[in-house]
Amino acid sequence: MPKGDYLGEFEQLVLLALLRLKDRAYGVTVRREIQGRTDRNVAIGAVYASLERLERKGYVLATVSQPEPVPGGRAKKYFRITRTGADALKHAREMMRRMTDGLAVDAELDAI
Amino acid sequence: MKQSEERATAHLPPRLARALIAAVAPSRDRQFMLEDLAEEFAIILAEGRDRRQARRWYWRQVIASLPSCLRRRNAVGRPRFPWLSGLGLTPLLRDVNFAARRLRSRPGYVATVVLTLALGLGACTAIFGVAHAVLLRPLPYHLPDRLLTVWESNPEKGSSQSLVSLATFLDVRQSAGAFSHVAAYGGNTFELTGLGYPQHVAAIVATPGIFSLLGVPMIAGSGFPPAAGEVGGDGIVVLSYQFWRRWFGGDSNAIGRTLKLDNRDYRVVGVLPERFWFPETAELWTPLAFSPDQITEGMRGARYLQVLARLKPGVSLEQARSEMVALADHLGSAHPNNAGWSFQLQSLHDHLVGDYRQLLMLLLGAVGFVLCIACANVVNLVMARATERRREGQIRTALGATNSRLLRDNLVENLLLALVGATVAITAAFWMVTPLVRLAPTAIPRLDEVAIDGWVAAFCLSLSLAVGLVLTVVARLSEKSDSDYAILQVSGARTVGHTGHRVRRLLIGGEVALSLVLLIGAGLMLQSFLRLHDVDPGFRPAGVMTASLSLPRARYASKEARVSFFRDLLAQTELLDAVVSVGATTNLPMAGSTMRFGFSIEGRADATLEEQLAAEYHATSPGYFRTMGIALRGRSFVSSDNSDGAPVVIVNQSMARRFWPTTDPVGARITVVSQDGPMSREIVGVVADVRHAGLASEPRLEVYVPLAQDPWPFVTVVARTTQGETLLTNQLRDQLLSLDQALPLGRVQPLEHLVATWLAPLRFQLLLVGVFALVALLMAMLGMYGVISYIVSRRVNEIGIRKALGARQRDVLGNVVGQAIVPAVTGVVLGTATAAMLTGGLASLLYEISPIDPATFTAISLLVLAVAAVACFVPAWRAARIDPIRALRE
Repeated sequence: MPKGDYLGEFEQLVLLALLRLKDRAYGVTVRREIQGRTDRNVAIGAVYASLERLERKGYVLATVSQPEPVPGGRAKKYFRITRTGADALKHAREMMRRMTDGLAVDAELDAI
Repeated sequence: MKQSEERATAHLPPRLARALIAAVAPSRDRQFMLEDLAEEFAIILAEGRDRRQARRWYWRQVIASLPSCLRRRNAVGRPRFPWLSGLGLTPLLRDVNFAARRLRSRPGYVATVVLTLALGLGACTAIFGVAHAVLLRPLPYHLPDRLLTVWESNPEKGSSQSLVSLATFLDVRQSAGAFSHVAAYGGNTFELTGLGYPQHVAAIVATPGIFSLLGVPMIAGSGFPPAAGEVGGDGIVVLSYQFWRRWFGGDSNAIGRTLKLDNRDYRVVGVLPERFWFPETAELWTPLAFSPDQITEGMRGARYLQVLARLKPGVSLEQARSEMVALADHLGSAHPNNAGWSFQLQSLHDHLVGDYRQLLMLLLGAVGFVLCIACANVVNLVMARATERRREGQIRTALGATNSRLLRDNLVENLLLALVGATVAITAAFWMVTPLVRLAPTAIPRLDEVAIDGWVAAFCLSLSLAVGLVLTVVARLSEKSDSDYAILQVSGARTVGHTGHRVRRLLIGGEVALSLVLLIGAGLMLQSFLRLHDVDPGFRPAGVMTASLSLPRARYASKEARVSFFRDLLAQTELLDAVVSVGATTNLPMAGSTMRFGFSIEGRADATLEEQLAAEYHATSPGYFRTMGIALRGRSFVSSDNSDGAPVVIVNQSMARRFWPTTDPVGARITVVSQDGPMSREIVGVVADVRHAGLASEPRLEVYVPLAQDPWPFVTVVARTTQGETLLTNQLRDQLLSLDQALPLGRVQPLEHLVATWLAPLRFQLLLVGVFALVALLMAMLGMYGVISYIVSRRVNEIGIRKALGARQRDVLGNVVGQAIVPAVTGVVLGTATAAMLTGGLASLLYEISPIDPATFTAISLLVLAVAAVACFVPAWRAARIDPIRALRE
């Protein structure tokens, strides 16, 4: 993995949201998923900015759907994780696991 | 159709926010982001949160999304604002970009300037938002500037604006050719039964044409048929949107259903739109019905209708006025009760907001001053920055930059700062406006329409552009004189041109003067408020609860029924544990209702002959004075003062002073007009003056008669209590239900609320002007500190030389302080003079204090001087301690 391609915290949250949402991941659902689970206010602009970055790195693939066949129906931009994206997320989790391996993290933190 | 349109707009996100995000979002995601936001906005509404919350959520999303959107725009290699490139704006964008890059290197400067401007602009924007909704926005009717209010007027009888009698209204409607519509209305309260608890509902009784006069369509049903009401009642009712939602769930089948009002059936014939606004709040509208005996000659003297008229197209107000003069002449000669009365026409808008124009103008003036002070501070910063950048300018000029090029860069930079300041200000005003409205006295009309909308934002933006322009011009002027002067100096000299200093001293003087004017205004208002607060209202409001109720005429037609009901109610209420004493009156102080009847003093022909005497009239129960804490001489009413007992009366101090200046009125007799006409009564007591019409009004002549001798169908029960509102409300409600199952209890509130409500507008204006004045003082102080610090920093060399040549600390201190205190004193003198000119406009808002009160003027001037001295002492002290060796070495 080339240097500088580490995933930021928010990028990890976005990738995990995509993982949870499977084929239902677009702006609204991703935003609501992260906000609902982390209880932090997430701006739609930040979600799209992050997704664009991930797309440029090749971690995420965007497809635009056909407009829904109802009056006023809209086209949506759906996102899914690519193989490389999955590897990067795995890698990030693996590094986190290695750093915490053999460490009672919570207890250590509480002791500070 | 109309209905569906309304529903459609209700689900649209805020336009301004939508435009904002559409402007900054990167084009690849713009469409998706907008649709995502719209989808979630709809979800939030569907989850049952109200429109306001949903809009707030939308705004929050947009604001939080701005940074990431802007960052992506500025990313390398991406065309910036491609939609602008076609407009030939590329050079401008390059300038903006250049300015932004230069500013980015001075974050401290940017933050100070932006925050100072945002404070000034934000205050202006918030107050303008209120003024815009209340004063400037047209009323929500069809062609609202054609709408007039019509009054009867008779200055000789002391009545400049009187309501209109029914018969006169009919004459106006029939013969006035200048009007396309004329309608009359009056307030009413219905007892609504059959829907939940029995309750009182505010209603308006109006002639059927009122909705077509206003140009307001029904959203359901057809409204009043043109001939409804008039002679005889039709038993039909139009519902407000809110009433319809509450009791019929917004069901269009409500049309044709019946409501039980005052025990009569009323058929629902229409529903008003949600956004329908009327000066008097009402949930129900019924047609004005009248019988022939209400339009007899004698009834022309009973003036109780509010009359609205719409000017015919092409007819001017002047034409209408002259037509009304002719009509008044004609009516005056035909009907004795119209003799001496003329008509007065006033635009509906003036009638509604006239009282608040002065208050809002005052506040706008105050925030204008705050903005000026903010600008003065920023000018100082901009000038300092211009001086710093003189070298940069010289190099660029040497390389071939023209003067206009340099000026343009400065202009763009300052405009950019001002616009960023405006953006912060609009955002702040957006959040400030809700608490501001909550604080404002509820009597101000159309407060619910206050919003920071496109107009208000445009106002703020144009104000900020003007500010940016002024900053550039002032800074440029001082810079130019600096550079002229600098040519004469050895390179590297660290002094500033004289004009620069002169402009700075002018700034100090101006800031001091402006803040002084505001502080004097606030000081006068504070004293006026304190004086009012100390006025003895004549009663002790603490610990007294009030509850109004009115008896339906049908079931309590006879006096005996009313008397026995009141007797039972008061007797039972007195038994409650929490109640110390209890009483009842027809007219509570400061509640806005009065009755006024004629009286004459027996055995004094002179008094009755000269003038028609009239006094405020109250019917009260025996315990009333004790409960209210009104001081009494002689005896109070007792239970034997009833219809079997001798007729008695209690008068107030003012009356006793005026008619019995040397003798005791107790035992004298007066004839008082009441429900049954004139009746001779013996005075048994004298009570203290009560300020019924408000703390600022002089006590009037007042008479009190026993409720048992003159039982009106409405009273307010007062109870001195040891417990809180809720408990007593519930106990009173139980009491009432035990006496009469179908009787609604009116408003229950502590007597202190009435006094507080009366003081609310004064408290509001005092609070705002006070806050603005303090902000102004603080900013002026910071401004002075900044200016003097700057001047001192530029004079380090010079002061070093002075000290090396023998100047003592004291000399330097005196020199620097003197340099600052002269403009400050000039500012105080100027400010005092300006205040003396301006506070005249405050006179009508002040109570028992002169608008040029010398004590206030002196005290505030001294305060400002003291603050100025503190503000310049700190940098002066620093200057005095400059080490000459180090100063010269630098």
